[in-house]
Amino acid sequence: MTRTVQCLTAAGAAAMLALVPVTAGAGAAKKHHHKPVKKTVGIHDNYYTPAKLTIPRGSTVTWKWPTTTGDSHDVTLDKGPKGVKKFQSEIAASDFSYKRRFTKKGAYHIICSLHEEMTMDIRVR
Amino acid sequence: MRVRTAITLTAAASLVAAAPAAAVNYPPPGKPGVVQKKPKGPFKTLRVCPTKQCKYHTINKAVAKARAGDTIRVADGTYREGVRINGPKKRFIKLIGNVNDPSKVVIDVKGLKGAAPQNALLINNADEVTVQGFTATHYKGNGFFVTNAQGYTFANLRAIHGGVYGIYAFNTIGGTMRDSTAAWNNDGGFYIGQTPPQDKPVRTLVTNIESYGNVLGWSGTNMRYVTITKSRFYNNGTGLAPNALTSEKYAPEEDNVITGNDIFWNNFNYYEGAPFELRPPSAEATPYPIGVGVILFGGRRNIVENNNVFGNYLVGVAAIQQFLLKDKSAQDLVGNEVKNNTFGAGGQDLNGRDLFYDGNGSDNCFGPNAGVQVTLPADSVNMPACPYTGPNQFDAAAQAEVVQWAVGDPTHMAHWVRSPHMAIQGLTPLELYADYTGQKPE
Repeated sequence: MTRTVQCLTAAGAAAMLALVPVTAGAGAAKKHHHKPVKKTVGIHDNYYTPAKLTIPRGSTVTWKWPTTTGDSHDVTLDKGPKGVKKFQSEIAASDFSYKRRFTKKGAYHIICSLHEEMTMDIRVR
Repeated sequence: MRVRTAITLTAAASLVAAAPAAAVNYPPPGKPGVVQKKPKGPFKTLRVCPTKQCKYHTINKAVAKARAGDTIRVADGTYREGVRINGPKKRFIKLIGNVNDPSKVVIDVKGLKGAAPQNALLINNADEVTVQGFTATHYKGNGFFVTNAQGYTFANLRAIHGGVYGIYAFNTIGGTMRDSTAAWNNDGGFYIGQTPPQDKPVRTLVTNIESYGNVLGWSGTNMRYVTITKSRFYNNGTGLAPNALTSEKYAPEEDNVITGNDIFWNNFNYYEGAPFELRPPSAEATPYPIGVGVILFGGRRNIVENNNVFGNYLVGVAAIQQFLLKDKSAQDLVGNEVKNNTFGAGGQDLNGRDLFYDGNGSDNCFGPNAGVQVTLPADSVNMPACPYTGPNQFDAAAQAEVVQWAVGDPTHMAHWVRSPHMAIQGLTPLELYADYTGQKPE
């Protein structure tokens, strides 16, 4: 099963709305608005790859566990921008994926709650 | 645990260098340290059965309805779900299957998709949950798994033919594992890992368990305050492996007691065939040696005593520095005691070598032990009798030799010293799975 949990906050929504061009004169703002993307992060023993990501706001990241057997890992938000709820995936070993949409700018530090050295960082701009 | 990520000297430098930057500023363990209040009741009993005779037809639906302290009784049958017991509202729940015959209440997650098959039963952040009288099978990750809890009871369980660990407690304080069996798992049959250090330690008792056909009979990465007794570990690649690894918090393993167990025939060369899927080789994975009864891979104040250790073709009990640990202050063996064990079953079933010790650390002692015939180093000069205080005598050549057992032998059997096994009623020695005439998993 793939879970999608959206972390769109009121503040984040307001910020996104603010970027929507309402007049022709707003074209300059549009230039700097990067479209959301979809990124995939691999989960292995004991690392994420890539371990660093920079993505536009509204992008979706999918973590994919290997199809072959591996140790158990999860995806846990350790630290994130103020107001973003902590999240944690299922603890899984293989044949699993977990999806998350990032709607708030800032730095996200992701950890595996079972393996101290297994971390990654996401910057949402 | 993944000892295989660790046992290599020659590759050590590159492995350490390749690892990501450490020293993550983790929050403290989510649960241990704060005891969840014992519920007052009144308590209910909820009944689960696969037919319409009961109110609940799945275990998860009963768990969802149960309050703290309630009992859930599960009738004989096969349940195709991954059971989840999450959060303090589920503390002190008792989940009871068939205590007399756990094979009749089966959690079988074969063919399920997504989260369900990852763990047949997972307890997270719920203290003092009891799970008793179940069989778990075909899980991709773990059979019975408890994490972030203070106290638990796993009893009369069978974790058979699964993914990684059979019966597993991680980041927990206290607990009981008893009267249970784990077999055919591609890492540890049983595993207690990352025990938080405690000022007033709460011990975990493991008694009357049986572990066979696993890569490791017992794994214990950074495990603390655990007593393992009256149990059998046989036909695994390695019998028991208390160890220290960087990948988990609170290295090294400390203050464990392994006493009064039978540890024998741990010569399962799963590389030549196994009923479970082996993890694919990777840059960070090196094989760990096969044919070992007990290996202390780092560790402090562990006691290995009063065990019967025989028929392990590489070595009965080994102790080696955890030279790969990033925290160098925790690499050394300190204050471990290997004493009053009986090796070789009175000459009827010899170990390839009875004892190995690389002489690392201090205050480690070996003996008296009965039946010791062969040691490495051969003169055992670095194995002082117990009690002993002071620095031990490091032997780099001996350490290097044992590392070669793990990384320099593609057959995993080249360093074995075979001897005939004695007969044990109901058991068949396992070396190569294709030749194994004992009971194989479905």
